[in-house]
Amino acid sequence: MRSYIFISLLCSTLMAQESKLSVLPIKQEQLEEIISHRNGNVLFLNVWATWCTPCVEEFPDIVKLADEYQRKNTAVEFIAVSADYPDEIDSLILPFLKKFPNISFKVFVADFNSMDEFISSIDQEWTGAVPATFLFSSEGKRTNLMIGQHSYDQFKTEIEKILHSSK
Amino acid sequence: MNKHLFMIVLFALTSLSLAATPDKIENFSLNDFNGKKVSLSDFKESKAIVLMFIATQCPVSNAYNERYVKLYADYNDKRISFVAINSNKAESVDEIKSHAVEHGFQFPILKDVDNIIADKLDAERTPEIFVINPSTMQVLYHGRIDDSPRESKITSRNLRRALDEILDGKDVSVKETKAFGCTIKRIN
Repeated sequence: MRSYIFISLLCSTLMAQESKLSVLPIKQEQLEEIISHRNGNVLFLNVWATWCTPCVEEFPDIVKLADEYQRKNTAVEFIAVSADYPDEIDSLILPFLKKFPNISFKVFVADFNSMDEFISSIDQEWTGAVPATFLFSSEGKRTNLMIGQHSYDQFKTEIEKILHSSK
Repeated sequence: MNKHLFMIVLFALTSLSLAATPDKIENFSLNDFNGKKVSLSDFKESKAIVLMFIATQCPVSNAYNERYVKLYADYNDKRISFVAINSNKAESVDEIKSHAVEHGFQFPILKDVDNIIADKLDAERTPEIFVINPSTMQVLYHGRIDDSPRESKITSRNLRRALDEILDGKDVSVKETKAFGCTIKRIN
Protein backbone atom coordinates (compact mmCIF):
# COMPACT_ATOMS: atom_id res chain seq x y z
CA MET A 1 0.00 0.00 0.00
CA ARG A 2 2.81 2.39 0.95
CA SER A 3 4.71 1.60 -2.22
CA TYR A 4 1.55 2.23 -4.24
CA ILE A 5 1.16 5.68 -2.65
CA PHE A 6 4.85 6.42 -3.21
CA ILE A 7 4.66 5.45 -6.90
CA SER A 8 1.48 7.48 -7.36
CA LEU A 9 3.10 10.53 -5.79
CA LEU A 10 6.23 10.07 -7.88
CA CYS A 11 4.17 9.78 -11.08
CA SER A 12 2.09 12.83 -10.29
CA THR A 13 5.25 14.84 -9.45
CA LEU A 14 6.87 13.83 -12.73
CA MET A 15 3.70 14.63 -14.66
CA ALA A 16 3.47 18.01 -12.97
CA GLN A 17 7.08 18.79 -13.89
CA GLU A 18 6.53 17.70 -17.46
CA SER A 19 3.37 19.74 -17.78
CA LYS A 20 5.32 22.91 -16.85
CA LEU A 21 7.29 22.59 -20.05
CA SER A 22 5.86 24.58 -22.87
CA VAL A 23 7.21 26.20 -25.97
CA LEU A 24 5.27 29.01 -27.57
CA PRO A 25 5.74 30.45 -31.05
CA ILE A 26 6.88 34.07 -30.82
CA LYS A 27 6.31 36.74 -33.44
CA GLN A 28 8.43 39.77 -34.21
CA GLU A 29 6.38 42.31 -32.27
CA GLN A 30 6.27 40.06 -29.20
CA LEU A 31 10.03 39.62 -29.17
CA GLU A 32 10.63 43.33 -29.73
CA GLU A 33 8.27 44.04 -26.83
CA ILE A 34 10.28 41.75 -24.54
CA ILE A 35 13.55 43.38 -25.59
CA SER A 36 12.36 46.96 -25.21
CA HIS A 37 10.22 46.69 -22.06
CA ARG A 38 12.79 45.65 -19.51
CA ASN A 39 11.11 46.79 -16.28
CA GLY A 40 14.52 47.23 -14.71
CA ASN A 41 15.73 43.73 -15.61
CA VAL A 42 18.76 42.76 -17.66
CA LEU A 43 17.81 40.39 -20.50
CA PHE A 44 19.78 37.25 -21.34
CA LEU A 45 18.50 36.09 -24.75
CA ASN A 46 19.84 32.83 -26.17
CA VAL A 47 19.07 31.79 -29.75
CA TRP A 48 19.55 28.07 -30.22
CA ALA A 49 18.30 25.11 -32.25
CA THR A 50 17.98 21.39 -31.71
CA TRP A 51 20.10 20.79 -34.82
CA CYS A 52 22.95 22.90 -33.44
CA THR A 53 25.44 20.82 -31.44
CA PRO A 54 27.16 23.71 -29.62
CA CYS A 55 23.72 25.10 -28.69
CA VAL A 56 22.71 21.81 -27.17
CA GLU A 57 26.07 21.56 -25.37
CA GLU A 58 25.83 25.01 -23.75
CA PHE A 59 22.14 24.73 -22.83
CA PRO A 60 22.68 22.97 -19.45
CA ASP A 61 24.92 25.86 -18.32
CA ILE A 62 22.20 28.36 -19.24
CA VAL A 63 19.61 26.36 -17.30
CA LYS A 64 21.95 26.30 -14.29
CA LEU A 65 22.70 30.04 -14.52
CA ALA A 66 19.04 30.98 -14.85
CA ASP A 67 18.18 28.87 -11.84
CA GLU A 68 20.92 30.50 -9.76
CA TYR A 69 19.90 34.04 -10.67
CA GLN A 70 16.26 33.25 -10.00
CA ARG A 71 17.11 31.87 -6.55
CA LYS A 72 19.10 35.02 -5.77
CA ASN A 73 16.17 37.09 -7.04
CA THR A 74 18.58 39.08 -9.21
CA ALA A 75 17.23 41.42 -11.85
CA VAL A 76 18.09 39.19 -14.82
CA GLU A 77 15.47 37.71 -17.11
CA PHE A 78 16.42 34.68 -19.20
CA ILE A 79 14.66 33.63 -22.38
CA ALA A 80 15.59 31.21 -25.14
CA VAL A 81 14.32 31.39 -28.70
CA SER A 82 14.65 28.33 -30.88
CA ALA A 83 15.48 28.71 -34.56
CA ASP A 84 13.75 25.40 -35.28
CA TYR A 85 10.39 25.55 -37.04
CA PRO A 86 7.15 26.02 -35.06
CA ASP A 87 5.89 22.68 -36.39
CA GLU A 88 8.85 20.99 -34.68
CA ILE A 89 7.79 21.84 -31.11
CA ASP A 90 6.43 18.37 -30.35
CA SER A 91 8.82 16.36 -32.48
CA LEU A 92 12.15 18.04 -31.63
CA ILE A 93 12.04 20.91 -29.14
CA LEU A 94 9.99 19.44 -26.29
CA PRO A 95 11.78 16.07 -26.36
CA PHE A 96 15.07 17.95 -25.90
CA LEU A 97 13.70 20.21 -23.15
CA LYS A 98 12.40 17.23 -21.18
CA LYS A 99 16.01 16.70 -20.11
CA PHE A 100 15.55 19.88 -18.04
CA PRO A 101 12.27 19.43 -16.15
CA ASN A 102 13.00 22.31 -13.77
CA ILE A 103 13.80 24.86 -16.43
CA SER A 104 13.02 28.27 -14.94
CA PHE A 105 12.81 30.46 -18.05
CA LYS A 106 10.54 30.82 -21.05
CA VAL A 107 11.42 29.01 -24.24
CA PHE A 108 9.97 30.20 -27.52
CA VAL A 109 10.28 29.16 -31.13
CA ALA A 110 10.68 31.85 -33.76
CA ASP A 111 7.49 32.31 -35.76
CA PHE A 112 8.54 35.14 -38.05
CA ASN A 113 7.68 35.83 -41.66
CA SER A 114 11.30 35.31 -42.69
CA MET A 115 14.78 34.59 -41.38
CA ASP A 116 15.74 38.18 -42.24
CA GLU A 117 12.97 39.55 -40.08
CA PHE A 118 13.99 37.40 -37.13
CA ILE A 119 17.73 38.04 -37.39
CA SER A 120 17.43 41.77 -37.99
CA SER A 121 14.82 42.35 -35.32
CA ILE A 122 17.23 41.08 -32.67
CA ASP A 123 20.47 42.65 -33.84
CA GLN A 124 21.61 44.18 -37.14
CA GLU A 125 25.18 43.02 -36.49
CA TRP A 126 24.18 39.37 -36.13
CA THR A 127 24.56 37.33 -39.32
CA GLY A 128 22.49 34.36 -38.13
CA ALA A 129 25.19 32.02 -36.80
CA VAL A 130 23.97 30.01 -33.83
CA PRO A 131 24.27 29.68 -30.94
CA ALA A 132 24.04 33.40 -30.37
CA THR A 133 23.52 35.01 -26.99
CA PHE A 134 22.55 38.62 -26.54
CA LEU A 135 22.61 40.63 -23.34
CA PHE A 136 20.44 43.71 -23.07
CA SER A 137 20.77 46.25 -20.29
CA SER A 138 17.84 47.14 -18.06
CA GLU A 139 17.23 50.04 -20.48
CA GLY A 140 16.90 47.64 -23.42
CA LYS A 141 20.29 48.48 -24.94
CA ARG A 142 22.15 45.54 -26.42
CA THR A 143 25.49 45.30 -24.64
CA ASN A 144 26.80 41.87 -25.69
CA LEU A 145 26.65 39.75 -28.82
CA MET A 146 28.21 36.36 -28.10
CA ILE A 147 28.47 34.14 -31.17
CA GLY A 148 29.23 30.45 -30.74
CA GLN A 149 29.39 28.22 -27.72
CA HIS A 150 30.20 29.83 -24.37
CA SER A 151 30.78 28.44 -20.90
CA TYR A 152 28.96 28.99 -17.63
CA ASP A 153 31.83 31.21 -16.43
CA GLN A 154 31.91 33.31 -19.61
CA PHE A 155 28.17 33.97 -19.43
CA LYS A 156 28.30 34.75 -15.73
CA THR A 157 31.21 37.17 -16.12
CA GLU A 158 29.34 39.18 -18.75
CA ILE A 159 26.09 39.22 -16.76
CA GLU A 160 27.92 40.42 -13.65
CA LYS A 161 29.61 43.20 -15.64
CA ILE A 162 26.23 44.56 -16.69
CA LEU A 163 24.76 44.22 -13.23
CA HIS A 164 27.72 46.07 -11.68
CA SER A 165 27.75 48.79 -14.33
CA SER A 166 24.10 49.56 -13.67
CA LYS A 167 24.63 49.98 -9.91
CA MET B 1 9.87 63.09 -39.13
CA ASN B 2 10.08 60.05 -36.92
CA LYS B 3 9.84 57.87 -40.00
CA HIS B 4 12.75 59.74 -41.62
CA LEU B 5 14.83 59.43 -38.48
CA PHE B 6 14.05 55.70 -38.36
CA MET B 7 15.18 55.27 -41.98
CA ILE B 8 18.44 57.13 -41.29
CA VAL B 9 19.16 54.98 -38.24
CA LEU B 10 18.24 51.82 -40.16
CA PHE B 11 20.57 52.80 -43.01
CA ALA B 12 23.40 53.50 -40.56
CA LEU B 13 22.90 50.16 -38.84
CA THR B 14 22.75 48.33 -42.17
CA SER B 15 25.95 50.04 -43.28
CA LEU B 16 27.64 48.94 -40.06
CA SER B 17 26.65 45.33 -40.64
CA LEU B 18 27.84 45.45 -44.25
CA ALA B 19 31.24 46.68 -43.12
CA ALA B 20 32.01 43.18 -41.81
CA THR B 21 32.25 41.79 -45.35
CA PRO B 22 35.64 42.41 -46.98
CA ASP B 23 35.45 44.39 -50.24
CA LYS B 24 38.27 42.37 -51.75
CA ILE B 25 40.09 39.22 -50.83
CA GLU B 26 43.65 38.14 -51.47
CA ASN B 27 44.53 35.08 -53.46
CA PHE B 28 45.08 32.00 -51.30
CA SER B 29 45.97 28.36 -51.69
CA LEU B 30 44.74 25.34 -49.78
CA ASN B 31 44.89 21.60 -50.33
CA ASP B 32 41.82 19.67 -51.40
CA PHE B 33 40.90 16.35 -49.78
CA ASN B 34 43.26 14.54 -52.17
CA GLY B 35 46.19 16.71 -51.12
CA LYS B 36 46.19 18.73 -54.36
CA LYS B 37 46.99 22.42 -53.96
CA VAL B 38 44.22 24.68 -55.24
CA SER B 39 44.53 28.46 -55.57
CA LEU B 40 41.86 31.02 -56.30
CA SER B 41 44.07 32.25 -59.14
CA ASP B 42 43.50 28.86 -60.84
CA PHE B 43 40.02 30.16 -61.70
CA LYS B 44 40.98 33.51 -63.24
CA GLU B 45 39.24 32.62 -66.52
CA SER B 46 35.91 32.15 -64.75
CA LYS B 47 33.17 34.74 -64.73
CA ALA B 48 32.83 34.32 -60.97
CA ILE B 49 34.09 32.10 -58.17
CA VAL B 50 31.55 30.83 -55.65
CA LEU B 51 33.31 30.15 -52.34
CA MET B 52 31.11 27.99 -50.13
CA PHE B 53 31.93 27.39 -46.47
CA ILE B 54 30.36 23.99 -45.83
CA ALA B 55 30.47 21.25 -43.21
CA THR B 56 30.03 17.51 -42.93
CA GLN B 57 28.21 17.49 -39.57
CA CYS B 58 26.11 20.68 -39.65
CA PRO B 59 22.46 19.80 -40.32
CA VAL B 60 21.84 23.16 -42.00
CA SER B 61 24.75 22.68 -44.39
CA ASN B 62 23.64 19.10 -45.00
CA ALA B 63 20.13 20.33 -45.83
CA TYR B 64 21.80 22.05 -48.79
CA ASN B 65 23.76 19.05 -50.13
CA GLU B 66 21.41 18.51 -53.06
CA ARG B 67 21.29 22.24 -53.72
CA TYR B 68 25.12 22.42 -53.88
CA VAL B 69 25.05 19.68 -56.51
CA LYS B 70 22.27 21.36 -58.49
CA LEU B 71 23.96 24.76 -58.39
CA TYR B 72 27.18 23.26 -59.70
CA ALA B 73 25.30 21.40 -62.44
CA ASP B 74 23.41 24.53 -63.50
CA TYR B 75 26.25 27.05 -63.48
CA ASN B 76 29.57 25.26 -63.98
CA ASP B 77 29.04 25.13 -67.77
CA LYS B 78 28.44 28.87 -67.70
CA ARG B 79 31.99 29.46 -66.45
CA ILE B 80 31.01 29.94 -62.82
CA SER B 81 33.51 28.07 -60.63
CA PHE B 82 32.54 26.50 -57.33
CA VAL B 83 35.05 25.98 -54.53
CA ALA B 84 33.99 24.64 -51.14
CA ILE B 85 35.96 25.21 -47.95
CA ASN B 86 35.76 23.22 -44.74
CA SER B 87 37.16 25.17 -41.77
CA ASN B 88 35.71 23.10 -38.93
CA LYS B 89 38.50 21.85 -36.69
CA ALA B 90 36.72 18.60 -35.88
CA GLU B 91 36.05 17.53 -39.47
CA SER B 92 38.97 15.57 -40.91
CA VAL B 93 40.15 15.36 -44.51
CA ASP B 94 39.01 11.72 -44.66
CA GLU B 95 35.57 12.67 -43.37
CA ILE B 96 35.33 15.50 -45.92
CA LYS B 97 36.28 13.10 -48.71
CA SER B 98 33.76 10.41 -47.79
CA HIS B 99 31.04 13.05 -47.33
CA ALA B 100 31.81 14.46 -50.79
CA VAL B 101 31.73 11.03 -52.42
CA GLU B 102 28.49 10.13 -50.63
CA HIS B 103 26.73 13.26 -51.87
CA GLY B 104 28.27 13.40 -55.34
CA PHE B 105 30.07 16.73 -54.99
CA GLN B 106 32.00 17.46 -58.19
CA PHE B 107 33.56 20.72 -57.03
CA PRO B 108 36.85 20.94 -55.10
CA ILE B 109 36.59 20.94 -51.31
CA LEU B 110 39.53 22.55 -49.56
CA LYS B 111 40.58 21.90 -45.98
CA ASP B 112 41.18 25.17 -44.16
CA VAL B 113 43.53 23.93 -41.45
CA ASP B 114 43.51 26.29 -38.41
CA ASN B 115 40.61 28.24 -40.00
CA ILE B 116 43.04 30.77 -41.52
CA ILE B 117 40.84 31.56 -44.52
CA ALA B 118 37.65 31.67 -42.43
CA ASP B 119 39.39 34.25 -40.24
CA LYS B 120 40.56 36.30 -43.24
CA LEU B 121 37.05 36.43 -44.66
CA ASP B 122 35.29 36.70 -41.29
CA ALA B 123 33.24 33.65 -42.24
CA GLU B 124 31.12 32.65 -39.24
CA ARG B 125 28.82 29.83 -40.22
CA THR B 126 27.97 27.01 -42.59
CA PRO B 127 26.68 27.35 -45.18
CA GLU B 128 28.07 30.80 -46.00
CA ILE B 129 28.75 32.02 -49.51
CA PHE B 130 31.19 34.54 -51.01
CA VAL B 131 31.00 35.25 -54.74
CA ILE B 132 34.28 36.65 -56.05
CA ASN B 133 35.20 38.47 -59.25
CA PRO B 134 38.34 36.53 -60.34
CA SER B 135 39.84 39.55 -62.14
CA THR B 136 39.53 42.10 -59.36
CA MET B 137 39.07 39.71 -56.41
CA GLN B 138 36.19 41.88 -55.27
CA VAL B 139 33.42 40.28 -53.22
CA LEU B 140 30.30 40.58 -55.38
CA TYR B 141 27.91 38.77 -53.05
CA HIS B 142 28.06 37.50 -49.48
CA GLY B 143 25.48 35.55 -47.54
CA ARG B 144 23.10 32.69 -48.07
CA ILE B 145 22.11 30.36 -50.87
CA ASP B 146 18.41 30.99 -50.31
CA ASP B 147 16.13 31.91 -47.44
CA SER B 148 15.17 28.51 -46.06
CA PRO B 149 16.88 25.21 -45.30
CA ARG B 150 13.48 23.68 -46.12
CA GLU B 151 13.12 23.74 -49.89
CA SER B 152 9.33 23.97 -49.64
CA LYS B 153 9.63 27.31 -47.78
CA ILE B 154 12.05 29.11 -50.10
CA THR B 155 10.90 32.53 -51.27
CA SER B 156 14.25 34.07 -52.32
CA ARG B 157 16.96 32.21 -54.22
CA ASN B 158 19.56 34.88 -53.52
CA LEU B 159 22.69 33.14 -54.80
CA ARG B 160 21.07 32.12 -58.10
CA ARG B 161 19.80 35.66 -58.57
CA ALA B 162 23.28 37.09 -57.96
CA LEU B 163 24.87 34.62 -60.41
CA ASP B 164 22.24 35.33 -63.07
CA GLU B 165 22.88 39.06 -62.73
CA ILE B 166 26.64 38.50 -63.08
CA LEU B 167 26.09 36.37 -66.20
CA ASP B 168 23.86 39.13 -67.61
CA GLY B 169 26.65 41.65 -67.03
CA LYS B 170 24.67 43.50 -64.37
CA ASP B 171 25.64 44.63 -60.89
CA VAL B 172 24.48 42.30 -58.14
CA SER B 173 21.37 43.98 -56.76
CA VAL B 174 21.39 42.39 -53.28
CA LYS B 175 25.00 42.06 -52.17
CA GLU B 176 24.52 40.95 -48.58
CA THR B 177 22.05 38.52 -46.98
CA LYS B 178 21.75 36.75 -43.64
CA ALA B 179 20.75 33.25 -42.63
CA PHE B 180 20.80 30.75 -39.82
CA GLY B 181 23.76 28.44 -39.86
CA CYS B 182 26.11 26.43 -37.65
CA THR B 183 29.00 28.40 -36.23
CA ILE B 184 32.35 27.33 -37.69
CA LYS B 185 34.19 25.44 -34.98
CA ARG B 186 37.56 27.16 -34.84
CA ILE B 187 40.80 26.35 -33.06
CA ASN B 188 41.02 28.26 -29.79
